[in-house]
Amino acid sequence: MTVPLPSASLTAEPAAMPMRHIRADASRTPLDLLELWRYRDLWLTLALRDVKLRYRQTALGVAWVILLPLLASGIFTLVFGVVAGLKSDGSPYFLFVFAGFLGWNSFQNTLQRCSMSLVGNSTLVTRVYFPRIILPASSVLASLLDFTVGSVIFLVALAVRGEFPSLLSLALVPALLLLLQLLAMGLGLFAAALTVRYRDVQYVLPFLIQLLLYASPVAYGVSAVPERVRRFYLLNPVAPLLDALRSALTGRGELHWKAIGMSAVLSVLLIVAGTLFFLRQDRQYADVI
Amino acid sequence: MPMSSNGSIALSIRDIGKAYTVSSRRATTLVESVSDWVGRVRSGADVDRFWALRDVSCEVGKGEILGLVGRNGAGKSTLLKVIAGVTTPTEGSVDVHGRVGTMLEVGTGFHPELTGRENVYLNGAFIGMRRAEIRARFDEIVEFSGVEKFLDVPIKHYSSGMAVRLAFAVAAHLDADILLVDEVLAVGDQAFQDKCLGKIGELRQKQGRTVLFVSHNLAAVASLCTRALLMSGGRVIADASASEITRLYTAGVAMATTMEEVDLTPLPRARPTAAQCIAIQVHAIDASGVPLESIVPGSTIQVTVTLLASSPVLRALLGVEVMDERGRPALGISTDAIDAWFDLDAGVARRVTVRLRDVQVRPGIYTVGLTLATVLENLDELDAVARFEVSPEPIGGYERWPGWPAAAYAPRFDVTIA
Repeated sequence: MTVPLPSASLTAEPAAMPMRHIRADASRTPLDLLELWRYRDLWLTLALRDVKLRYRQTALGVAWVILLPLLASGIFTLVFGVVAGLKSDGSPYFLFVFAGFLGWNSFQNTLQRCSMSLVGNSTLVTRVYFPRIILPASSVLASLLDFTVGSVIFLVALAVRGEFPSLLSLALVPALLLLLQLLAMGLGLFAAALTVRYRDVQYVLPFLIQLLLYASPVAYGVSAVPERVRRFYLLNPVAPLLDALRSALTGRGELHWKAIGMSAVLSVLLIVAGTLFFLRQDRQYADVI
Repeated sequence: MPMSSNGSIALSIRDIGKAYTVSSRRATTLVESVSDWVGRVRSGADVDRFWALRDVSCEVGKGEILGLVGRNGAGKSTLLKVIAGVTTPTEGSVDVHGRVGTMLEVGTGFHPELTGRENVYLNGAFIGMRRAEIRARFDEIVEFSGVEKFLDVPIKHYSSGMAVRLAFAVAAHLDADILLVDEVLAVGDQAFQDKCLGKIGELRQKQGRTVLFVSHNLAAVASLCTRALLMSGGRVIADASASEITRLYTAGVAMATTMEEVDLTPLPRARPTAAQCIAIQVHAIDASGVPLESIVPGSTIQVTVTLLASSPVLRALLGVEVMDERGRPALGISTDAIDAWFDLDAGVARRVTVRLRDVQVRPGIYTVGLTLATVLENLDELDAVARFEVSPEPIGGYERWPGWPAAAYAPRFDVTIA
């Protein structure tokens, strides 16, 4: 039997008692940053839950984090590199595609997990109060971890070949990843809110993601896209970010700064719009889900 | 406790109403929603609304344990959800002074693949605890739950009893000013239930917590709560001391006397379903099936339920549950146990008669609850729809001790004294 130590932090509950007004007439939930801060541990716990759960009771465990992109890259190398004969940026086609998948997977996983975050936790949504936005937001961490592990392996492989991107180039990676995650979460917030009411989204979304994969520079580089359509091609906000992320990781290829800038602006706009949309629907989740 | 301008008030609830769009009409796909919208514009009709709560006003002082009593669908849980902030009211407002903690239903917030230890953190986080808080109280929580040995085993290998104990232990150690407890004690063994009730009482006495407590266990409400609300059809129909409310609640249940049928159609239902119980009749019968005046221990009790379906139902079953005066289950049967199933046609009333043979319960007042269901869904759930009295057996020349033993079920038995 253990005797719990009296803890000062517990008795020091906020001196001013929190006061909450629940009103029938408010049109949307305000973004209460103070409250989000109070719930930061929930974010962390949920994110860790997702990470821990993913490969529990699998024989290969965490190895899947590496195996899946390796397998996908292998198939792409076979289909696009060998059969279709697409060109890489000069590095071996397999590594080129692998670097592309690192960024793509982080985008796709965040978007998909975000979109299912409310529906997949419906018992919680209908029974417990907490800022709902924590559910989609917690899906980012797993993607970041996957990306980090994958990148380290990728860089080791490059180093083995005697290549290494400049530190300046590597310094761009976190910023580009952040933009890509904002983009995924912005879209994910729309998808999550819509899925609550229209389950159609969960069928349409994987299809759209599949299309987007081929419309994005994973199997090929932006420079392989013919000049005259490139302008339209780069309207896909994922494309410049993915291409730049790969260039930053390999240290090869050129950066399309103008397109990156546009994507960055769009990412920020999307995360703001997605958050507002999500909060606007917030009051209905428990009743409709 | 910090004092504000009205430092003794924990909750002020003003004119709360909560309306739901009737589920059968709610669009769940885009196409439905568009056709729904077109239909509404064309007919100009408003969507059907169901008021789960209406005109509920009440002030709850700090340190009160307020019981919420009422039938299923009376609006108790909806009220708790509005206070917790899970769902937003359609009308009115609530001022909440302090941190609200919800004691979760069993399993909510638990993930089967995670271990007990991981789930304690997860569950704590959902009710708003910081990791540091949980860590500081971890040993206390684990000790209370009594599942030390299984902390590193995934919850899916726990018995439901163990999971409940762990869930309650987390919530009971939550540092909330206002604790919402909704029927969590329906599961778990008696000893643990008593421990939980004791803990709730302790929370109030030692720490001045305010507790809102929903339970069908009238005994618990009467002994624990300082005050109670009786709810019916989404409204508060009485606000009084807990003992007064439990008395009113049982008295409100129609006494089923010999041969008299109780009409169940006016009872509020949470949602429209394919079929309902529309009437019940309870009386004792003799060996040849003739109705008797009174029910005594050992009687055969005949429960006749009239059912009416609005659309056809295949393979339905009926459950009958008998509770004692304190709201504890005394006995219960379900027709599927003897493989008796019935179909219902739309608009045609059917009677299902259940004969409970040799009912060995102690003299007292009992209430009957009904469940009409198929294996897929519950169609109608009604608590305490009828009441009957079991009179003392007219044999034996003396009054037996009335309150002992407390068990409702008193089997036939014999004794050998050597």
